[in-house]
Amino acid sequence: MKKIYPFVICFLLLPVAVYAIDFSFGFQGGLRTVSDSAIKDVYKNGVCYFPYAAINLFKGFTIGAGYEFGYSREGKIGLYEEDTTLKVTGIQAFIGYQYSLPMVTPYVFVGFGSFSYKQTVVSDNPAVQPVDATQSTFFVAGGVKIYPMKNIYISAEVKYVPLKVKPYDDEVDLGGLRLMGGLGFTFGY
Amino acid sequence: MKKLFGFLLFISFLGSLAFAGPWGIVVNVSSRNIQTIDLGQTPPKVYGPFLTGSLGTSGEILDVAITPDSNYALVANFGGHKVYRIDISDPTNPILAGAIDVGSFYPEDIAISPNGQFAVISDGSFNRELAFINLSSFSNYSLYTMTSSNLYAQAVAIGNDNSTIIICDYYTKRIVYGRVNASLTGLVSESNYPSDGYPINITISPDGATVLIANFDGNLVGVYQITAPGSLVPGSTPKVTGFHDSPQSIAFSPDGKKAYVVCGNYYGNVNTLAWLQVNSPGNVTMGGERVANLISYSYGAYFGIDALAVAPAGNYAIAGNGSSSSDSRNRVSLINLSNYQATAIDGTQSDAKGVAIFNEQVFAPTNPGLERKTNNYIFYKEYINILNWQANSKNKFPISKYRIYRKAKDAADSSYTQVAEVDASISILQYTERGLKKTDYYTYRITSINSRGLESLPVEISNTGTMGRAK
Repeated sequence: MKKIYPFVICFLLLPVAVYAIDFSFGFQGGLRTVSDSAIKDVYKNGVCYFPYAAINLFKGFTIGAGYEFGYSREGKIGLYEEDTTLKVTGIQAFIGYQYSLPMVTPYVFVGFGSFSYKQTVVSDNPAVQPVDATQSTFFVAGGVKIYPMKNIYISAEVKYVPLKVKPYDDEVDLGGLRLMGGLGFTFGY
Repeated sequence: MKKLFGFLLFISFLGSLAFAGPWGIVVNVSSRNIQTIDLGQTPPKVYGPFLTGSLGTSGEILDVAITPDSNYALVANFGGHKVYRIDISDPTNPILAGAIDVGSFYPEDIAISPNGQFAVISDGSFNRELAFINLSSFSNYSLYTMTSSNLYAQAVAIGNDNSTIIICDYYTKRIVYGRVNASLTGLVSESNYPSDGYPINITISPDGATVLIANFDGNLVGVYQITAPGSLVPGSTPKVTGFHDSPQSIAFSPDGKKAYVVCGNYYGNVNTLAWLQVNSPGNVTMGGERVANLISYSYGAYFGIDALAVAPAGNYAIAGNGSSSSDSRNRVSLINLSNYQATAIDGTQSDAKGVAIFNEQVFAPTNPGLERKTNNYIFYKEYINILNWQANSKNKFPISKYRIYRKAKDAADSSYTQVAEVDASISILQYTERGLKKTDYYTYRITSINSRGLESLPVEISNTGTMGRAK
C-alpha cells in the first residue's frame, strides 16, 4: 500500500505541473550508510534506490516526491548470533532550490519523509519482539545535475536523514547518509 | 561492557547437607561388626557385615548412635572398653574413623547431643561413671563420677536443649537428672527420682518436653517432663502400665504424637511391640499393648541399648534382636507402623542388637555462580540469567540431575517454584533463563538429586539488582 504513495503524490502535483516551467523525474541509487554503531555492526551499510518526480516551479524553486527502497540487510544478532533482517523504506516529499548554469545545476533541498522499518529475528526465543513500525522525520540533501543532453541529466546527491526510532525501550538511530547518483529526464514547457 | 552490565553477584550458601534417604545400621554384639540396611528399597537391602576385626578382638558391641549430620556412627564395645567412630557417609562402605580407649570404663549406652557437640556414654558396670566425649575432636574423653550416693548409670539421654542429662539406674530404680557443665565434661548438679519399676531405656520427644523411660521389671513406662534445662518433673500421667511384657527399648515417632515400645521378658518369648499415645507434654496413655510380634526372642534386659529406631517419615521402624545372641531365630524386624506388620530383614544376623536409622546424605552442588547477560536486539534487550555450579564430590551415590527453583528476589521463601531440572550428565553444569526483563531479579536455589531420587538441601544465589530498578 505504501508503495503507491509516490504515485499519489505525483498525481496531486500534476495540476501544479500544468503551470510549471518544467517537470522532471529520475532514478537514483547508491550507498546508504547507517549512523548507529549497533545497526552498523549487525546490518552494515547498504544500498538504496530513490525514484522520484519533481516540478521546477519558478526561479529555481522545486518540489517533488519519491520513494526510497532497497536497504534490506541480513546479519547475525545478539549473544546467540541469530539470523536477522532489517528493512527500511521511506516515502519522501521535498522542496528545494536549484540554480541553473549551462549544463550544470547545483541544488539543495529539505524534505519530510515517512520511513517504515521492519526487523525480523529467526529465533524460537519467546523474548523476540516484533519490530514493524513507521517514523517520520525531516531530512536535507544537496547535489548537482549535469546535462549532457538537453532533457537528460546525470545527478549526484548527498542526503542526510536523521531517523530516531523507539519502538521499545531503546532509542535507535536508523538515519544516515545517502550517497547516490542517477539519471533523470526533464520536460520543459 | 556494552553487552554485559557487569553485575556483581551475591552468593549465600544455605549449607551443603542433606536431605535424606533412610538407612538403618545395626551392631552385632558378639561378632563385633556392623551392617547397614538400605531402607529405601523393598525389601530392604543389607550391606556388610563391615569392620569385622576392627571393632575389638573381645567384648560386645552393644549400642550405636548417629551424629546429627549423619556422617558418623558411634559404637560402644562394652567389654573391649572402647568407643569407635565410623564414617557412614557412604553407607555401602563404612570406614573406621577413630577409636577412644576408655580404660576400665564399660561403654554401654551412647547419647549424642542434638547439636552434635558431645556424647555421653553410660558405664554398664558398677563404676558410677559417665564418659563425656567432645565430638569435634573425638580424641579423648572425660570421666564424670556421679555424685548421687550409690547410683549407677545404664541408660543415658540428652535433652533437645543440649543441656539436660537424664540417667537411668536399673539397680537402684532411680532416675537421675541434671545439667551439663560449660566444659561439657560432667554435670553441674544431680537430682533424682525413684522409679516404680526398673528403668532401662530413655527417649525424649522431638519437642524436647516429654521424657519416657522404659522400666523392664515392673512392666511400665515412666512419664516425665523437662520444664527447663536440667529440670525434670513427673508427667501429669506419671506412668503407663498394662504392657504385655516388660518394656525394653522405647522411641518416639518423628511427630512426637506416638511412642513405640519393644517389650520382652526373661523366658525366650517373642518380643512384642506396644505403642503409646502422647496427648500433651507429660501426658501419655496406652495406645496398644501388643500390636506386633517381632522377629526376635528375649532372654532378659537390654540395659540402655537402643534396640528400636523409627524412620524419619514415621512410616516404619526397625527393631534389634532380643537379649540373646545365640537364638538363631533372631533377625532385625522391619515394622510397618501403619498396620503393625513385622517382617524379618533378611541378611541381618542373630546377634544384632543396637539399631539406629540415619539419613543418606545428598550434598548440594558447590560453587554456584550467576551471570547476568544482556542480549541486544538493538531495538530492545533481552536479559539472561546464567546459573552455573559444580558437582559436589562428597556425594557417594551418583547425582542424576539438578533441580532449579526460583523466586522473585525480594519475595518470601514460600514463593519458590521449580523452574527446571538439569541432567547431571551434561559437560557444563549450567542453566540459562532467557527472556527476562530489565527489572526481573531473581533468587535461585539449586539442589542435587541422586540416583535414588533423594534431594539435597539447596544452595542459593541471587541477582544483585533491586526489583523494579535497573542495574
